[in-house]
Amino acid sequence: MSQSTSDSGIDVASFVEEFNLARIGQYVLVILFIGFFLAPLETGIMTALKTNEAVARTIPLAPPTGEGFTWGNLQFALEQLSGAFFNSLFMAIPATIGSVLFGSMAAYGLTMVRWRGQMLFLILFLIGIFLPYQAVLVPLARFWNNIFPLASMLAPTFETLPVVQDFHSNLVPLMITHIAYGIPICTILFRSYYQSLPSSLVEAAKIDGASISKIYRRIVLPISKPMFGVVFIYQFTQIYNEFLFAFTLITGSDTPEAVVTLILPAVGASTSGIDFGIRMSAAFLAAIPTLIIYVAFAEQFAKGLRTGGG
Amino acid sequence: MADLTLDAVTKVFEDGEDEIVAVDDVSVEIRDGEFLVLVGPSGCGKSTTLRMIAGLETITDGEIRLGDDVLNDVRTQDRDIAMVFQSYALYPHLSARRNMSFGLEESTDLSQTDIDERVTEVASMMGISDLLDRKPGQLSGGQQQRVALGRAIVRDPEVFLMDEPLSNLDAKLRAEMRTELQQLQHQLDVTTVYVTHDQTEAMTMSDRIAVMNDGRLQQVGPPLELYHEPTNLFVAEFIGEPSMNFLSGRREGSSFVTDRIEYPFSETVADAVEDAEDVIVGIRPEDVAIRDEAGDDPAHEFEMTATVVEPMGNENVVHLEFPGETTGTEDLVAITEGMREVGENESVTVHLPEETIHVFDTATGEALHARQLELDPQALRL
Repeated sequence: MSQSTSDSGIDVASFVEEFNLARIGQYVLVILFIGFFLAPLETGIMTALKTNEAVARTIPLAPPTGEGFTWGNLQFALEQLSGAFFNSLFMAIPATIGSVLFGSMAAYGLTMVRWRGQMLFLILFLIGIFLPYQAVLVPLARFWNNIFPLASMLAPTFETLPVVQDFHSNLVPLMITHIAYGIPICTILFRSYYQSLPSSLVEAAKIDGASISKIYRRIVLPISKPMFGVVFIYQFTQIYNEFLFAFTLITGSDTPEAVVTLILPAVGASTSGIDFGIRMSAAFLAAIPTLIIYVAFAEQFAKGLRTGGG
Repeated sequence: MADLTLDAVTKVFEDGEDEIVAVDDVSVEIRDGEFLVLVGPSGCGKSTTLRMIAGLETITDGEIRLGDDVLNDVRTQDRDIAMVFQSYALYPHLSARRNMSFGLEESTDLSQTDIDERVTEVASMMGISDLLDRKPGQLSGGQQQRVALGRAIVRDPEVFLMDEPLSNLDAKLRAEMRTELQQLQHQLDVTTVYVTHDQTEAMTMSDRIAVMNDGRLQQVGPPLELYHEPTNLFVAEFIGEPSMNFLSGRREGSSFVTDRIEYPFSETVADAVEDAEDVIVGIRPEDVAIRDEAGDDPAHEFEMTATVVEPMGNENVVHLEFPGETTGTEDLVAITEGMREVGENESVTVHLPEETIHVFDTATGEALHARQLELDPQALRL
């Protein structure tokens, strides 16, 4: 009797002890990592809500208190950025849709349709991914300014349109550039997805009498919805955050057609120094569109990653 | 309606430097309304042949004709065919109804009302009327199979192609679908080419069977003809379950001699064998008779030991061995009726009736003599 109780006591104790140590270790690690990743965000948001004086006096992580709290920074940053927001979205949304759609079409043509010389084209697409942006900046600028001045050609048309102004035509070359440079990576992403689809689907549609383009529109396009989510998020973030092409093709941060990434470095800077409150507000605001996209496409994104295999 | 003709069809796949001949000089004529089963082990080229008929593979050499039209350069989309895939290949994002109407929308000018009418009609024929609004993911394997068949039937094509359509079903459902598919085909009277590796499906469903091996056509004929008059060793072994017994040995005079036995040939057989040296004698398990005591044909009776008995209820499968050194492999398999008891390790008298044996040339595999049939040859072409 006594033997059995002492036995079971030892068992439980040792079990609990081991269990706790592992658990505690895990939680400590998780909390450390959460802190590590969230601290900069916390600092940013807190600084955005502080007056200049409070920024100087308090530690960055601490929340603003009493006199130190202000909405002014956010208001000012929003005023500064509102035009740029429109410009960025006006350029990035069509550019994203364009590159994703063309990428998907190219991947379909390279994966599910058989024709001669396919491999050569695939290699060209692969090269496109590894082409360094810096190498094409000068030719690109010369092309859009001297050889094919699309912006100035479109300006009169843009003037007559509602909502947009004539200067918005300067965003069109940037949009097309992004579409062109986005196609290779989108193609490769879609390609791996299409390779994982059973080829009998396309064959069945062929036997049902559907043409190559009809098979894409009625079968492949609807099936690749989850992959569209993934590539759309990725591509939108890339284009929206891109700086180098924007900097080259748009004359500067003081022009009305400047995109968010061009204006951001200039917001809050003045001869008297940098206003960190304003700068953090602007950075926080600039990040919102990408956050919205992630939340909006979260379900598709998860599905796409699960089924994508790419 | 027209006949489908394969004329010396060859398919060569190029794999870098190597050339792989998947289908070699296959000629077969499939008559209008006929149910032809292409059967063979995996990798024998049967699926490739089917895919060439569908236009999913190009034809390296030879010709495929539907009636008088050469199909070789006709696009898959323009061939009047329907195909059922092993994986069903239903469009996952479309409802069963839309899956079935897709082909009609793409290949005909029918109005939406007419299409709906035809889909509804075929659906009720297939017993899937109440499943039409479900997507493939919400259907069971058997239901998906029916939708896939319905999708083919609704097209009302010249030719049905079926690529192992039943192999993803469980055994019971497969047997049911086998009968149903056969009835459907009779009812619709559409020329059908059916690919399978399952010889039971081939035997039970077909009007004629075409056996393929290594890309070559081995024999084409009605099921019973293939069963009783195989033209070579491969067909003899492939058709029938359990498969035919083979004893390999030599012809000495007018007798067949192995290490264990001497088996005298009758005049008819000896004439057929002529002067072939190395021969293989084949006999179907159901023709191997097990007797308790010697009968009236002592020359063709042998003492053997039953090593394993597999009772199936209606019949027993008995594995038999010739006396002497045990080789570990049984020498003959016999099927006896279920009520006849044979004990394991029991010594029995085995009768190999001379009129039931097949003789093959060992070197070429060609049949030299097929079993004699009391049947009228016409009866084979049921």
